Amino acid sequence: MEKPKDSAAKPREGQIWAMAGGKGGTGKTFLLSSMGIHLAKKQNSVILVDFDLGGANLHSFFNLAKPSQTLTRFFDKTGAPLGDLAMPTGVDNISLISGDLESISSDNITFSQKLKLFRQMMKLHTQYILIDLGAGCHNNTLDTFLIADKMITLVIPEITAVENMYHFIKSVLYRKLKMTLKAYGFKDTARQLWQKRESLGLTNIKEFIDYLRGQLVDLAPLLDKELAGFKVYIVVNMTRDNQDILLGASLKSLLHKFLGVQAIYAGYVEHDDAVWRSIRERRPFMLNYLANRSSKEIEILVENLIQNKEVQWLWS
Amino acid sequence: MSDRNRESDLEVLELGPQASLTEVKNAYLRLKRLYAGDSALLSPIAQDLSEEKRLRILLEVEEAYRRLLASFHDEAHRSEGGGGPAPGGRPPTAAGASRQEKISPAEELTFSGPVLKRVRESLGLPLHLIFHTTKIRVEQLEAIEEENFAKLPDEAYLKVHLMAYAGHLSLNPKKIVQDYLKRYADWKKIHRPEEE
Repeated sequence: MEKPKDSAAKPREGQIWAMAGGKGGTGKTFLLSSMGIHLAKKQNSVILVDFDLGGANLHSFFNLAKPSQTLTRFFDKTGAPLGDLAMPTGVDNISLISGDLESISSDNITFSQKLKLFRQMMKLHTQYILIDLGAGCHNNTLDTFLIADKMITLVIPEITAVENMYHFIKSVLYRKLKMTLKAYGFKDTARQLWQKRESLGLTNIKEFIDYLRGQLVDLAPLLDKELAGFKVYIVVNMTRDNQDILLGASLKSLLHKFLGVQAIYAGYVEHDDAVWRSIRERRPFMLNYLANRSSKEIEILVENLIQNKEVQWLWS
Repeated sequence: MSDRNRESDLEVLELGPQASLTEVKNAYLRLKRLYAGDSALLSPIAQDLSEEKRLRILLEVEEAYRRLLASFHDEAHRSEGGGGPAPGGRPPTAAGASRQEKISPAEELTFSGPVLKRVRESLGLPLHLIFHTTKIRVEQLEAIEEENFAKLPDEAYLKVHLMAYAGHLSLNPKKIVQDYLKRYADWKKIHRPEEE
């Protein structure tokens, strides 16, 4: 998956959007299903992939029973093609590939299985593939996040969520850096330098990357190329006031200054009791609460993601 | 100021090359708050952020803002057809120019209602946004700015409002309260002498 040579040339069927954020309970699954419904309403074909292995519940947002066909079939001896596992959701233009509920733990997935999954994912016949990633910073989560065309991180205005999100993006960046260095044969040199980072006066990963650029002249253009596409989309969920909305802009600043990561503040969704109600009623929010401001905000978010646009401020 | 310098100053404020004066002011305020020592958002990244680096960021933001204000000012001056700016982009200090230099330096100034209004407008903050954070009703805010003292609440409440309002504009609350309440007291002496 990290073969730098062919990543650009690979023809992809659909755009892959992955949503993660480190912390659980921030509304990832809700938001992803809602974004999918909005895309589908605009006549796009959408496949939702529930990659929250062990905690898969995306089907519940469509009032579906526990699915019989899950990713287990892809990973176990059956070896079913990924496309066969997509099942209808009851909403036009959207199907769902469910994560496994019990039998396999994500630790048992081998590296080659993962590559096979990514290969098939890229060949799914659909316009959009939306991947729901679970909480935490497991390598499977990081790698899946990294193959996405749009790496979306969701955060809520709570310091714990901010902390986990920062840690998550840092882990993704480390992973990307590690894979890049490995692919180009600089892994050992970089590791030695990393171990000496304190004596070199480097306090964070951004400074480390800048240092690598300066020290390893051959590596510099490769690093630039690989990291140029490293762009993270920030979404703030459950906002209650303007301070909360500003959080996205602040995070963008922090990510840029301390991780050297380019971020786009794509949107925010206000806290809305109707969301909780729709989940309890098991009726998709985006089909039943169209008049709510939060559903409008989700629409704007999706449009921003498509067009690479940022939140438009009230005053500008 | 060359376009190149201007662009790098705008970059410090995390803005694109086409940013407006209002955007510059908002970005400045936001970054200043974010990188102030007491910002809660900084704790998760504490290990990546030395105190020295934090202060350097604050300084960079401050300097970029100062240069950008001057450059916007020069621009306004040129487009008015007035005399060209001094080389080097030094901010003109003469009277008759735009509102920025009328409201600084802060120490020599009395914070009357209209001055507060000018500060607020120069930050591009509409009243409803201030209401959002401070929960002071828009009519009350208007009365404060217009010095419509008859419409204002008791001194104790007024003081609380002023402090919240001043904090929102990043002004020194103590100075604002002191200045404003003095004006309020003067008015009271004339209009409501029986309360004295």
